[in-house]
Amino acid sequence: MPKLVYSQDHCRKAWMEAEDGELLAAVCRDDELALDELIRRKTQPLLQLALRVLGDLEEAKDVVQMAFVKIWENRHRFDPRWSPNTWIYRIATNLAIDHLRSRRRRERNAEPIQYHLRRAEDGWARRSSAGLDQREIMGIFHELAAGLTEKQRLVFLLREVEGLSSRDVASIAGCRESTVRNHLFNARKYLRQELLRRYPEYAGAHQGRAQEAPEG
Amino acid sequence: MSRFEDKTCPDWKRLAVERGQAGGSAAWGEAREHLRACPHCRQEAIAVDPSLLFVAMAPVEVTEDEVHAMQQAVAQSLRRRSAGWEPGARDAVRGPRWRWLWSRSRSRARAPWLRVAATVALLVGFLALRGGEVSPRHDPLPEGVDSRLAGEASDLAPAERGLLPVELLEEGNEARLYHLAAPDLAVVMVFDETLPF
Repeated sequence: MPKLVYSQDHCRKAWMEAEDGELLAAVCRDDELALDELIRRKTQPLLQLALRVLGDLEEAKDVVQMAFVKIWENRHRFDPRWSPNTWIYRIATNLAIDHLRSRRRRERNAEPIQYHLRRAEDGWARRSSAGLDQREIMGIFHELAAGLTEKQRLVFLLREVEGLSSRDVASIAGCRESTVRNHLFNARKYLRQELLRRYPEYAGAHQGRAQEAPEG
Repeated sequence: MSRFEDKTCPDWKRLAVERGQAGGSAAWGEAREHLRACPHCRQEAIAVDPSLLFVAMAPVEVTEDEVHAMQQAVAQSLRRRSAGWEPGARDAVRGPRWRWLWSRSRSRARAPWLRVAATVALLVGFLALRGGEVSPRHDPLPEGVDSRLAGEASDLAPAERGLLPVELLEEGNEARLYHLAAPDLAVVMVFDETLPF
C-alpha cells in the first residue's frame, strides 16, 4: 500500500521534529510511530545511564528495552504536567536499580572472588591517568561504586556524569534537592577516598584533597 | 606558559570549587565536555579532585542499527505481552478501563479493609467446611482397635482412619499407652490425665 507507506514516513518525519512532550502525548494517544521516535531519541541516553549503573552492556540493553515496554504500558498514567524526560528517566532508573538489586543477591557470595580475579588480571600495573581508556575508567567506577548506596550511585551518575539539574535528579530519585546534595557530597567523598586508597597510581598527581561542602 | 593560560583548557582548581558550590553552571557543563575530550586536562583535573576521573567517562555511542534493533525488540516484546506469552501482560491487554482493578497503588490504598474482608471470608469458609465434618462419620474401625479410640480416630481423615491399626498396649490407673502402626509409620502415644497441662 504505497499510500500507507508514504503516510507512515510522513508521520515519522513529523515526529522527528516534535518535542519530547508532544511525542509522549502522542504515545499516550496510542501512537506507535511516536513510540518508535521516542525509542530512536532516548535509546542512547537511557542505554548510557543503564550501562553506568549496571556495568554490563547486555544487561543495560535489556533494562532499556523493558523501560520502553513499561513506558508504553503505563502511557495512560503519564500526567502532561510532568517533565517527560524525568518520567522516562525515572522508569529506566527504577528498572536498573531493581536489576542491580537482583544481581547483587545472585552475586553476593561470588563478589570477593571476582574482585581478586579482577585485581590479578590487572596485574597491579602502575599506569598514569592519561593512559586510561574508557573501559578501564568504567571498570574502576563499578568497583568503587559497589561501596555506594543505590541512591548515592544514581545521584552521582545523573548529576555528575549525565549533567542533569539537582531538581531533575530529585524528581527521578524521588527525594528532596537537599537530599540529592547530601548524596552527591557523600558519593564524591567516598569515590575520592577509595580511588586514592585502591588506585593511588591513577591519582598520582593529586596534591591535596579538594575541600568542599555540600552544594547549596 | 601554563596550560591553564591556554583559552581551550579550563582552570580546574577554580571549577572544582564552583562545582562544590553550585555544580550546575554552564561553565561546568562545558568543562565536563572538554574533560572527556582532552587527556591532558584529565590528569590536571584528577590532581585537583580524583572523583573527576568518573566525570570524564565518555558518552556511549549507539548506532542506527542498534536503535532499529531496539525498536524491533520493544515491538516484539509488546506483542508477546499482549498475547499473554510474557508476564506482565495484564495492563497491555486490558487497557485503561480495567487498569484500576490491577493498579498496585490502588490495591495498597484499599488494603486495610480488603485484608480484613479477605480474612473474615477465609475464616467463614473454613468454619463452614469444618462444620460439615464436625458430626463424625462412624466408619467401622479395624478389628482389635479399642472403641475408646473412636474419638481420637475420628480426627483423622477417613482414608487414614481405615488404615491405621491402633492397639492399647497398657492401661494403668492414671495412664494409657497406645500404639499406632502402619508400614511406614509407628507412633506410640501416652495419655496421662494427671500431668499438669
